[in-house]
Amino acid sequence: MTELDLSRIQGFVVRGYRLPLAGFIFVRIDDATRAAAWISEIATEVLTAAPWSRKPDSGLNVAFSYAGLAALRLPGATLASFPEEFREGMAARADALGDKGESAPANWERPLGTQDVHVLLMISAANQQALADHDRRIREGIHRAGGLTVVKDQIGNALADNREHFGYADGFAQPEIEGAGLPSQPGDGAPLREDRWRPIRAGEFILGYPDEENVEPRAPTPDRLATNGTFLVYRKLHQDVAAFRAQLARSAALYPGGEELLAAKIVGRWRDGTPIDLSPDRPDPAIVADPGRNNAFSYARDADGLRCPIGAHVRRTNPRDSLPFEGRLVNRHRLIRRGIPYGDPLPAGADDDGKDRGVIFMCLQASIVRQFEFIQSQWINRGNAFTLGEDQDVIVAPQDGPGPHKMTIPGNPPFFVGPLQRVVTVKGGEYFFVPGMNGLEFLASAAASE
Amino acid sequence: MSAANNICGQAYSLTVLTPIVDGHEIELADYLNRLQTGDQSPLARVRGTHFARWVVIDDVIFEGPEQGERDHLQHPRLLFTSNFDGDLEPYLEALRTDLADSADSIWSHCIGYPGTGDPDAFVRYFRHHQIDSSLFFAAYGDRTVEEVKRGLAARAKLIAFALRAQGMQAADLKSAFLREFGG
Repeated sequence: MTELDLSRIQGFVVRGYRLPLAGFIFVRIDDATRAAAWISEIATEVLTAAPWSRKPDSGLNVAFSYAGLAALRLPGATLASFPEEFREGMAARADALGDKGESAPANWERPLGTQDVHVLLMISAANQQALADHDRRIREGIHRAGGLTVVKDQIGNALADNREHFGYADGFAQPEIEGAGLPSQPGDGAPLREDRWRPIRAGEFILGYPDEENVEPRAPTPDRLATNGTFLVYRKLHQDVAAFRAQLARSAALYPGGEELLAAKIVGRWRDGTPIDLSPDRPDPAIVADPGRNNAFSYARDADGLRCPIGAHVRRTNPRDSLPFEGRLVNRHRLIRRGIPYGDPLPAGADDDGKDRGVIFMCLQASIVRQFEFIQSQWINRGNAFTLGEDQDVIVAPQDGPGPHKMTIPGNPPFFVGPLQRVVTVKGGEYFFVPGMNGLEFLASAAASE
Repeated sequence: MSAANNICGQAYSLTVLTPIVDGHEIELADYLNRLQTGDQSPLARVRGTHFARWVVIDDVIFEGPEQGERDHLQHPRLLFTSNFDGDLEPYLEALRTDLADSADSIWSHCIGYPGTGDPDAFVRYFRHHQIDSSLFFAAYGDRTVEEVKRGLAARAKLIAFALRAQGMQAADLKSAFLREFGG
């Protein structure tokens, strides 16, 4: 059994803090030596995965883009040892990710997608006061250090009842990581037969530990930099709530089960989070409230998608045991999700108010190309893996290419949801490396010795 | 060459590995990288092609513990694979006539390539460098490119119809269906 070096892994990697507020500060490094001194300073503030006796009011985590590592003037061999997709950055991967049209990098919020985003500071906080205090402290430190420029800010705020803007409770399914020492919840790990689950090998998410192939994942060199680190995808997704509601209502007008059942069918969970697999006819608050049940389902007895459609959002993005080889391939494409909504909710029944709202989608993984990019390009943007033809994910896919686009609700007769339009637009994003505490020390010393 | 290793249904899997003239591999890779894709690809001109590709192989990759001696390629190789409809000979002729200048621009970087001018020599060259595909699986090997395209077009038409027709009364549905698909 793998043991994780929890005091050297950044805290948000291993567990979601479940704090309702987030402040993101994007920093450009103008002076490598000053930045190095600043990194050793903030390293002392970074919240690690070591067990806490009392949940803190706020916590800091930090990540670096490839441009940031280059700005720290790391040795060329170290820079070259990072994987290609990370070195290129999210904007350069737009074609593979389907970030075209409105979602194209040319339309992103600056400076996302440029060479100016070097460091991402993430503050999680329990209340506005704690966020403001921590934010001020960080900015004072940046100012004091010199050689650093804040180039962008972003605020995230959880909505009531853990909902996201389309109205669904979010954040249930998270991979159970081997050796993390957290309580085991059925459905989080890798599927075994007879509704049993085992933890996912830590190396799927954290560098320096064995992965599902029982080898340590490909990692940059030296080990001191890589071990206990991981890769972070940061993606700001605007949600067009009025368009989503209108699209749902248009289809629901023809759907015999009514709007809420259709809303549950397209996602695979009722709006309150009840898995439709466990409760096909109605939401069940008792299931949602029970960590032992709210993610405890597989698709073993629903190959045709009669309960949870094959094209449902949660089934496409985490197919569990429904792909060949009893899920063994799926185990190589799991994500730790750490997203948080931004913007105020659109009141029920309201017309589009033109305001920006959506989700700061964040995920953690050992390999961005094998995990996030694969899921986005093969499972969300294309239907082939599920024999769904041209059908794209009904929630986050661009619905581009020749239409009309639809989703099928299997049944007798089947029901077709559509024509579908894009309801989520990419506003910008970056790939980051999240060093362990040892990696932060390495960065501080390597940059300083330059 | 064992036919069983290269044929699935009516589809044929061609694998050709040709040695590249020393020093030409970068120029060749650049040329291949600049080729248009999709309908504009030169391969789109070669009728009956399901899937084809070129890969420049600089050297053999070794993954494992250090060893005293490692194998290297004497020359870099150009890999060409194509899955297509029907028999090998007509397809090689189609490569020669439909790729034409593109074929010369690519394989002229390879040792011994005779050019598209001499049909017999062209076929001999590819047969000489052909290797067994060993394992060829095609999900619908009995269907030609044209049949697959017709099937996809029918599918797209049916989806559009299903979306329009959903909720129609039976009589309206029948007449709409006949209008769309009848005769």
